[in-house]
Amino acid sequence: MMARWSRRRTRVLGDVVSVLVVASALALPAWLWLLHDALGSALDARGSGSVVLFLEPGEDAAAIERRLRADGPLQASEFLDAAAARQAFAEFLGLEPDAPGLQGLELPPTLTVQLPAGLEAAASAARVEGWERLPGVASLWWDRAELERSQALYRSLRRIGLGLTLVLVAAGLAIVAGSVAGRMAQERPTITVLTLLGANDGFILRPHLVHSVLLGVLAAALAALLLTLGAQALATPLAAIQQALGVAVAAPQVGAGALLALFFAAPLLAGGTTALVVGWQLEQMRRGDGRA
Amino acid sequence: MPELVQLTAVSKRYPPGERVLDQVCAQLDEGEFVWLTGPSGSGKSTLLRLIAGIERPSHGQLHVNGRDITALPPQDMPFYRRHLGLIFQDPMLLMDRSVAANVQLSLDIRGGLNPADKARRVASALRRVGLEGRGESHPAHLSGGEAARVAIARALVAGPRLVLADEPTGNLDPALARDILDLFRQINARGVSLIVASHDESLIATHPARRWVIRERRIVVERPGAPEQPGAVGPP
Repeated sequence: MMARWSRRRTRVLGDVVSVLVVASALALPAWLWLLHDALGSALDARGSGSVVLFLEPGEDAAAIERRLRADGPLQASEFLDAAAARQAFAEFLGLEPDAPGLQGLELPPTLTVQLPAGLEAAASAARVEGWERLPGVASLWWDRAELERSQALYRSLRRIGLGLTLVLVAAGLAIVAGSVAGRMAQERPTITVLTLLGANDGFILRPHLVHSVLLGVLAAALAALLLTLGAQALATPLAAIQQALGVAVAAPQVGAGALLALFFAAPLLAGGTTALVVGWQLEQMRRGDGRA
Repeated sequence: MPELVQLTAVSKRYPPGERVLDQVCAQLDEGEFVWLTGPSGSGKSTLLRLIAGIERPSHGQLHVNGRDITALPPQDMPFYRRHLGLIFQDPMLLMDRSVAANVQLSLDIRGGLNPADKARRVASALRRVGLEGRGESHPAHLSGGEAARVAIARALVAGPRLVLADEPTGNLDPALARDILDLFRQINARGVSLIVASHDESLIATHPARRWVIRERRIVVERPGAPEQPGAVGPP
């Protein structure tokens, strides 16, 4: 009786650990993907960096912009003549345009263009380099290092997300496989009797499969809860991104598609692993027993 | 009587070449009761495992109900085994379910019956082995004789034409062993064929029947009241 209780307790504990690990294996990478998507949309909103072209006085800004667009598309552009440039500079400093320090200050007209989203820093650089030599352009300002930093952060997040997904899914599958193998070892006498009575692999697999699929559904439900809470917890990192990039970032939502994917993936992974482990163990038992 | 089991030059060797059975020939007719005897380790259990399709012969042919089971693909073997009744010295009851659930296992594996039919057949099988009303008992609360009867009920519940029993009375006292033998007689009287392995000569003497005696890895057939048949070694 005590041994049976002990076995049952071990099984329940194994099931709880399996549900927790599988739920974490699903929720944590999904949460990272939400963060990744938020960063991606922020970078998209910002484009691949802004370039400020300082023009020679009296130059035709529209003609220069047409020349820039001839090289490729631009996400946005804004022209400020000398007066508007001075006003923008004053606003930046928090002063009136005719404040004493600004009187007599001559600023060049500027054309600010935003490079299209998703353009790599190297490609952006290749495009921007030629602009400096364009007739009518006195100089230009472009913060390539900042663009490279944000793109590197985006790529790192993607790599970490992928790596973590692989590691956690592998760990989840290993836990499920170990749990199934343990149950099979405990039930070996039962399996022997069933086999002698004519049970085929499908009959022996069925209860294990049902058990694992149910655990998968439980894990998916837990993962959905963790992910919903996790999405709310993204507010702080998103605020930091918003501040760093200077663009508004929408809080990511856990959509029906994501939830459906969770409820599809967890039972499928758990059931598939179970089928493989049970099939392999039955084959090992047959070989060990020399059974036909 | 038509043949139910036909062994033709069946041999079994285990790696690295240990011969257990060599060129065994024998036949069992429909509705026949046969004792399978021989000293311990002579290969009685191996022979029953071969007939049950639990193991495959190294050589030879083994026909059951006209079908060569040595040629059956592995995936068909469970379906073949569902038509047999297997009884072992250890009743091999599952301790996590009731007596009735243990007996019902054979029907669950076969499939095709609704719960009411299963319950009716389980009750009938338990009645036949004298365990009426014990369906809800736990196997741990059964005596050795009762556990053996549950195993017999489990073997019979699906209505097999052939029952293979390996030392079914080995753990029982003589009185219980005779009860079990009486049960086998009743089963046999209903037309079920039985091969019962035993080395209990006193028990065998109470039920004269044809004997397959394993000697020197071969079968010698003895008929009740008749001397050993010298021509019985080899193909019939």
